[in-house]
Amino acid sequence: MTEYIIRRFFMMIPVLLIVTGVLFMLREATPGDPASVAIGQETELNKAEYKATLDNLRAKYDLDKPLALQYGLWVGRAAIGDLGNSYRSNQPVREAISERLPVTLELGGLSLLLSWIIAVPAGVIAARNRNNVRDLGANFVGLLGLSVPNIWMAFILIYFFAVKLQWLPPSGWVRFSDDPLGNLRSVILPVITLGTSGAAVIMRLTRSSLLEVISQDYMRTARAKGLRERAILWRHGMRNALIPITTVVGLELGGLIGGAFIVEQIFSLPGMGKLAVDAIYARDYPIVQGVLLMSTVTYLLANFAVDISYGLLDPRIRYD
Amino acid sequence: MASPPAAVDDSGVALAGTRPRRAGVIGFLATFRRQRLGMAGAVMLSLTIIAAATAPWLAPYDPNKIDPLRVLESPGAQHWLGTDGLGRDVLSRILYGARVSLYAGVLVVSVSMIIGTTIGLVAGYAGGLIDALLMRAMDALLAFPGLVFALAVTAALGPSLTNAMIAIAVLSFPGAARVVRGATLSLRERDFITAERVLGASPPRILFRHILPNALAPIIVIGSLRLGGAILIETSLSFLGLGVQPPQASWGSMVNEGSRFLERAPWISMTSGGAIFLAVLGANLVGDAVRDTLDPRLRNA
Repeated sequence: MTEYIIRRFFMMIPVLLIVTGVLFMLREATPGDPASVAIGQETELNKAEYKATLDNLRAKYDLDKPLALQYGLWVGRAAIGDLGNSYRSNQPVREAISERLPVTLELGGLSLLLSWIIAVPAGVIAARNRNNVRDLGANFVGLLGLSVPNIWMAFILIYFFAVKLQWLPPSGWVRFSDDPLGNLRSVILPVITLGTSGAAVIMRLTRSSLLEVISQDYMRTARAKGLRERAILWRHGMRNALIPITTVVGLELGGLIGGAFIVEQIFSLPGMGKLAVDAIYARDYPIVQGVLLMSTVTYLLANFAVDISYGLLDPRIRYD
Repeated sequence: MASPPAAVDDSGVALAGTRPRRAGVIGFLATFRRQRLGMAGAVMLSLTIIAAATAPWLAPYDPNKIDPLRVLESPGAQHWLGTDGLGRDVLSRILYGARVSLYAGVLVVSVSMIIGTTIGLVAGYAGGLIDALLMRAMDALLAFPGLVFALAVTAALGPSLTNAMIAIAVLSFPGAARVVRGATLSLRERDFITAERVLGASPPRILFRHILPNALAPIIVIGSLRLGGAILIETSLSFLGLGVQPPQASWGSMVNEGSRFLERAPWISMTSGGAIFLAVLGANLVGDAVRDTLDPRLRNA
């Protein structure tokens, strides 16, 4: 097991190299010199001064060095937590991200929780009532959830709960430390938007993976020895059905991160997604790069954790 | 002996009572037609296609014609779905928006299927180092969380529909490559391929004339399942202003423009979002039905 964990960990390295390479190359592909972006449009400098400032900035951001060296420096610094400074505000990227991180974590965590609360019982009901009305209903609702665009769902929720009923604020963020209740109110609609879209995928998978387990011999044995239906379902059925479901939770996290970018924008939540999207408009590439690197690494680590947890869920799985 | 539990084959509703399949397009259509949800999806998707194809004739107004006297008019006899913040006809813009989403979705899926299939065929057939390198590269591309990667590409290359489409295509082809590689691996060992090789057929001939036709079913399945997702990402990017640029009408940017008038004119965001939903739901239903028809074993794909 330990050996597997180590091997699986080292397998992430080539992937990380490609991922960082792509992110780095994307900055290279950006039209225009990052240094000139940093100077901004409004400064009025004469030609010589402009040239000098540009050269200064190019040196400061390592833009005067060969490409391979630039990449090496960037990766090396990122590895020790230095993601550079914002071109616009000169704030360290790490600081900007850690300011925004709690918002995204709260949004993502609650959404993931909500989608599990909806999806697992719905999937179990669908599987146990295979092919009857309840199964068809759950299946169809799942497909609906898969097809509803986040952007549409969000505005339907805002329209009914914020504009018409005025129960909840349409957008904005209240910090938990300032006002716990206000924080909850500001996060309800975003969490419903994001949580329901994730629920659809988990529900469909719970159904199909439980269906496969239900037909196994040990389920019949469990029933034959007179176990209560609930014990059969949860202890024998769900524990085995959980394995494929965990995989998808790892992959779902990607959808969650992407969805958070959109949802934060709609509800003006000051999270990482909003930070990145605003930075894209402002062509503030260190911020964009930093956030994308962070979310990709998180995603990689989550899937690493998922792979490891297989062994805990199912001792039969051997890693050789 | 008790009869085996009913759940032995996870074929679901769609396949219940399937007769032995006839080959070819006609057989496919005959099986497909029996799937009610799939047919409903086909109707929804057809509506989108008709809207896209006939927008210039169906649209009652020029989608970009600004009318300052008729700003935010509610739906009525003159403008069936009302007007937007610049007095443009919402219905006409939705019809034209269908063109963008459908064009982006279909083109992206076709291109990524072609790239993915080629990579999968080569990797599966060549094996060894080439296979390992190609598949590790695919893994790395799959390691990007979807929309995040699309954002990175549009951030770098600048916001435009073409760049958004490139991003979505790069996201889609690694999945196809994996599936095709799997199919190729098993086909490669079959006798008729060995026979071809013995007869001296060149690798490209074996790949494209013999392996590809036999691997077509999973490719079509993956492609049709991807269409809905591709449309969703396109509309999300357009919503963020990173896809289609104004004044061109697109569903995603219409939802965004309408969000500013949610109180006074909710119909702008509601109807354009509804159009996205209908098209994506249609594509997903058709995708599911195509999978059940062609290859029930891929149910969890």
